[in-house]
Amino acid sequence: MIAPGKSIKGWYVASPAIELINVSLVFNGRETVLENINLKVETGEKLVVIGPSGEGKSVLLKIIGGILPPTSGEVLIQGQNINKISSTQRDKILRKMGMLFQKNALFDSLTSAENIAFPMREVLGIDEKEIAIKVDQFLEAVAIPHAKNLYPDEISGGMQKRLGIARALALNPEIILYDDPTAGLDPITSRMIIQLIKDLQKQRNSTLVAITNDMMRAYQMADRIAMVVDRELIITGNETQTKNSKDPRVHQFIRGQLEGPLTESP
Amino acid sequence: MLAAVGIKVINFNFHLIGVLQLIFQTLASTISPPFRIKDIFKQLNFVAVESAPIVIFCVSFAAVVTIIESSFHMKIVVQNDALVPGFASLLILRELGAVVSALLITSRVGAGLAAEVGSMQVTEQVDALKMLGIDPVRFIVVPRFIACLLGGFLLSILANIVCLICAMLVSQFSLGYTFGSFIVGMKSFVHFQDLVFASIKGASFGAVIPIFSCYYGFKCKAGAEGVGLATTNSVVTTSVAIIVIDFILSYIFSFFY
Repeated sequence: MIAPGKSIKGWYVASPAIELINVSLVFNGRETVLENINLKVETGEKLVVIGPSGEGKSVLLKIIGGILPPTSGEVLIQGQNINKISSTQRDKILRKMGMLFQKNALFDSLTSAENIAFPMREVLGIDEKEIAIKVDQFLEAVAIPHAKNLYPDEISGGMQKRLGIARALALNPEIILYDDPTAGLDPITSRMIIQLIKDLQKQRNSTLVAITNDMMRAYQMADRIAMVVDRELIITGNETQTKNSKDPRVHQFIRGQLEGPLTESP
Repeated sequence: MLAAVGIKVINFNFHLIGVLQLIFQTLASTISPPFRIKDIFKQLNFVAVESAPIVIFCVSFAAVVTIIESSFHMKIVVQNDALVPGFASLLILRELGAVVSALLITSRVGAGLAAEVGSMQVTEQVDALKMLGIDPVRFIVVPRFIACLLGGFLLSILANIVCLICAMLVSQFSLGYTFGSFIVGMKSFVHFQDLVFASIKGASFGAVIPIFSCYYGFKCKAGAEGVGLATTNSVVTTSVAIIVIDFILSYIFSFFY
């Protein structure tokens, strides 16, 4: 068997874009949030993570994004363990990833244009003329060119999401993480945001991991769906497989039923 | 009861380790490039220039009170206030200027900093920086640390000058000492090293402010209450730290006389 990422006789076996091996996270030495999570996301794949609130979906995304180090286990991004490499190498890998945060995490002291320019200015160090051209392109791509000189608190929630997406894409990442991209948006805006995410993913053939609790949006986005529940990650498969899952927790969650294992007292 | 004390001790140690880690990271990042000169000047403007009016206003009153009280007490104890210019000048230079200006910077800059960093933490802006491979300590703490260190140094000098001028004015108009006699009295007590020590104190107090403010900002929990608590904790802890550092430095400086 050829190890991923190794070349043999001219053939190259690509590493998965993301791989988690026995990842666990314990907060304050006593609160286990995730336990022995194993996950592989191939390059260009779209994985959507669902699950009840407070079960650790955002935490999982932050572990993948290198923001939270796991208590144990390995996080491999394109074959490299991001928690066991030098900070310079780690920064290089992190720059291959972009993330849309649940609360957008826009820098409120910067205008929309400056928010998009910020990663390019700080990380790429390219000249201002080139940055200005790219900023205009990104604003066009997410359809908010009119918000160029407005501050985040001067634009609507939907526009903030678009701006967050534009900033996440500013470094042309190969892997994009979306933490609840439609949270707090009306159904039409949600649908537009999902369509935007899909279009951008298709154009760039990027790997996508998204969190959502909206099953309709999850089915629209996903090649594969996984569910975080009871500190574990259940891979439920594609839309059909998820709908036909025999796991009672998945069954209850995707149908939004009030009775079932997720709402039973321990 | 014992368990509660134990938890307090563990929490104290937890915070102590966290603060020491932040100090180490900040110092390491301060002396290594890239240096964010533009950010440092922007912060220096906020810390020093924008704080200057309130510092001047408050230390002026502190100086007036010092002269009036010194005169009042000396008249009771030694029946005359001839030593007031020298005594008050020494007190102003060794304590008043640096400590009062540091406490004012704490309430103005430290509180604002804790709220700013706390809001950035709560709204995931700090996580966004990490995700971009930008070290939040280098990006947020270091420019503020350098600005507060320089700002504390500069404002303590300014505070001392303003204090002395006010002390001279009050001495002339209230106690009847001319500027000349005030300076003669001052020269018999005050030495150049007093000004140097006052500046060292000012810089040290300034350096402490962003450390505690950013520490509590980074530890900020979600919600308005979390930001409020981070701000309160940062102001209280920094104020206590300033008093303690003042004692330590005063004790060390006493060996130089």
